[in-house]
Amino acid sequence: MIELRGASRWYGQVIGVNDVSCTVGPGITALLGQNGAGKSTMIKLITGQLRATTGETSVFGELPFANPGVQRRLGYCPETDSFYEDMSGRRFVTLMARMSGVQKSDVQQRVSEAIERVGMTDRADTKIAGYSKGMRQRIKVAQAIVHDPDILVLDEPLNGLDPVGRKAMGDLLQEYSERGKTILISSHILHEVEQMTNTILLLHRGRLLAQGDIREIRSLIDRHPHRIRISMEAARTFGPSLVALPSVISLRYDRSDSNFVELETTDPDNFYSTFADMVMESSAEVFTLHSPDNNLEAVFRYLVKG
Amino acid sequence: MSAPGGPIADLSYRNYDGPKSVDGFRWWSIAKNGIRGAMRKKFFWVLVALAMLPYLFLIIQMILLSTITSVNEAASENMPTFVEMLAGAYGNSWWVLFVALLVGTGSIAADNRANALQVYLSKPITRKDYLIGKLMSVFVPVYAVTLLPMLMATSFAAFDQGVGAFISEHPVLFPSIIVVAAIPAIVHASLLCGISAWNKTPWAVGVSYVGVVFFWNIASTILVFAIGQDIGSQAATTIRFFSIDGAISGLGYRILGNMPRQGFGGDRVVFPDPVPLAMLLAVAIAIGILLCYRRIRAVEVVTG
Amino acid sequence: MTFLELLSWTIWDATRPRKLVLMAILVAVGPIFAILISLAGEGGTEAGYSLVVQLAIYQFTMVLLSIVFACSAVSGEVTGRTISFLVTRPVSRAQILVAKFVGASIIVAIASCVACLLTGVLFETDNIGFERIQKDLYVLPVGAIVYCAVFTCLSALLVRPVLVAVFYTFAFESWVWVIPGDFPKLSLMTYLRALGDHSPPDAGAPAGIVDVLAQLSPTMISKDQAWTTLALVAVVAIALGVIAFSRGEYVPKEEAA
Repeated sequence: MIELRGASRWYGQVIGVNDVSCTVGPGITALLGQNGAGKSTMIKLITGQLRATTGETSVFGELPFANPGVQRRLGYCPETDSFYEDMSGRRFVTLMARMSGVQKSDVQQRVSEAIERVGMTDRADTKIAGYSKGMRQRIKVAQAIVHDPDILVLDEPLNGLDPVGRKAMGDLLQEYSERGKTILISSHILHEVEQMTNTILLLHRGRLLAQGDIREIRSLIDRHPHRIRISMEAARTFGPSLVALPSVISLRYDRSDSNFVELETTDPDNFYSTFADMVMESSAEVFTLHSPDNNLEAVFRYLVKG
Repeated sequence: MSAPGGPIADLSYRNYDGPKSVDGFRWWSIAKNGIRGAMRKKFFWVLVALAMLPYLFLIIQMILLSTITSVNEAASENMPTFVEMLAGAYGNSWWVLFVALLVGTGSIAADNRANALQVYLSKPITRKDYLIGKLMSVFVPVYAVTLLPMLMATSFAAFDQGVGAFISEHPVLFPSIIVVAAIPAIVHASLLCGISAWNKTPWAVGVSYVGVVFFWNIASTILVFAIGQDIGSQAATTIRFFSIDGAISGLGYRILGNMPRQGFGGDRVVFPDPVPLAMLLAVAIAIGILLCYRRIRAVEVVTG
Repeated sequence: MTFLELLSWTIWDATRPRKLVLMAILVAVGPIFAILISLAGEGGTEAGYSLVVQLAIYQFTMVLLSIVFACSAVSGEVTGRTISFLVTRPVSRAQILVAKFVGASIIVAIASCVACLLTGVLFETDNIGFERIQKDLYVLPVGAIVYCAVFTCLSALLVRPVLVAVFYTFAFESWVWVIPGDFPKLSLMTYLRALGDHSPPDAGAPAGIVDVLAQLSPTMISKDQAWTTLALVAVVAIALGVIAFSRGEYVPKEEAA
């Protein structure tokens, strides 16, 4: 649906996006990167606000720049908090719905649904000027979904939302994803994004560092073996059999906690299945098992810092 | 155990009240920031070049006139004097107004928009420092753009006529120029900062200021008609100059001791009465500073 | 979305309370001068009416209203960072720009005509003649269209259109008409004055005012030339604005990179 082929975008002497090639299909894709990584530039290329200096951007097989055909099927939630402050939230969403091609006969119903979906029904008729940051974020999302687009592009939609709001936003995006829509969400709040999707695009200084499933990407980072922390009954007795496994390259006990063991492995999938068999055989009780760096944060850190 | 101010904490905004190490020149950091910002704009330099044009024409005019008078001495009787030409160039101060607009429209409006006043006033900077800093960030570029070309043209004339002879003929011209050049700078700085303090968008400041300036221009022209005075009288001339940029020119002419001959009054030089013009400018400056001072508060204003 | 809906939105946007207050102040300028002149005992003369209408309404109220409403058409959306809502919608950019131009023209025309009508009434319509006022009521909407077209175009082309617009109207146009030769032909106001046809008064008014009115009455341009030039300027300006807006990238400076 969304495709970038060698797309670069320069702002005078500064490069915003550098030779990026990727494809984004149905489901939720997270666009990750630090501030200034080029996330917003990439989003502006996709939403047709900017043209690529070199390379190509296509959405539904067409160039998106000033293309009403593409924009009719695209919902965009910008990062900035700027609005027509004198409008009420409802009036703003209505205007955006009409501009997005929603028929006059349907507009009231669609607007009410979108506003309800983001939990703004009780404040929809007051002026945007009096909205808090979270309310602004919600109304921005409402205007992006009001015409039921096939592609939803959200630039930092979690900023300013409280935990309840983030959860609601996550649920909303999951629902869209289940309906076969394409959702591209940029963020630097990695743990929140992680709960929504495993598919990422990782940008750093304008370049695309990684794309695809987070677990696959993680498994390809050989330089950084997976750490796995286990809390189990008689961990010290169990230790020698763990270190004997060919995929385990180190093992550490905790002096203060006899039940704790941390190991490093180069093949986590193989380790998990072998470890399960070992536990079943020995009937040892396992309290917790987790990998502190099998997450987005760690992948991000490893890829960015090399 | 209770907090020093009682069990309920004071959550209102407080200005910085810690030690202030650099006494006296704290405003300079704000002024410097504004001046640097202006100098980084290419358009500023275009306007500076255009503001110098009347004085460059003046120098060219002087060269041409000295060529003519060297051929025909009798012609020198009808020639305009240097001070008359200098006053004429000073009166054509459109570009200076535009330099002021470019530098001054966003001075406080941009801070209002970004709610940056809170940041400024939480530093070891007082309200007064901020105000002086902002005024100076407009005053300095506008003063420089007015003063430097005037000094350049006058120095050229002095060297052309012989420095000793020129100074004995115009003993107070250089100090007069230093004073005259400050008039547009202080008026534009205070009024622009005053309007800027009450707005969030630079373009609204620009439109409002231009509106005020040109409203007075039109008003002075129409008032001459309304009062029905003889057009060559001092009263009519004073009313004609009774506007913001008119008063800047009129007072400048009085201080320089000459004015261009064209315009109302034909070939007669009829000076406007300086007292009402000075009062008008004093009131304008005071209003500008007062507007500015009342608005500079470290409070985020939420409307709606 | 229909063009009319876009238009009604642009008119709603232009008639928010702050802008309405500004509009009311600018509309009041002409009538205030009319009252002042009447109080000074010079009311009821065509010279007084001509002076006020030409200086206060043509050259001040109408021009300043055009700057306020047309210069912000695109650049106001960019500096207000609302442009991304507009350019990511399936509405042609040409339609958006034309709607903004038409909306601004309607508001400026109505406000200027109200100012002119009030001024005429205060100057006593019987003395001036309603035909005189009627002529201005035809010319002011033409002026509103032409100035709004030029400023809408500037708004699509420049980051700071206000500075250029203010310079053109208040520095260049207020000065160029006293220059001899064809220089006044570079001012749109000259063509509007030619259409307005305010001939200088024969006698009665102070000499200086007669001079001013004589200079304000261009003799070098025929009405046909004025109509042709103004129509051409408006069409070219709006076409240029549409091309620029349709092809332009409008990302606020702070968001770039």
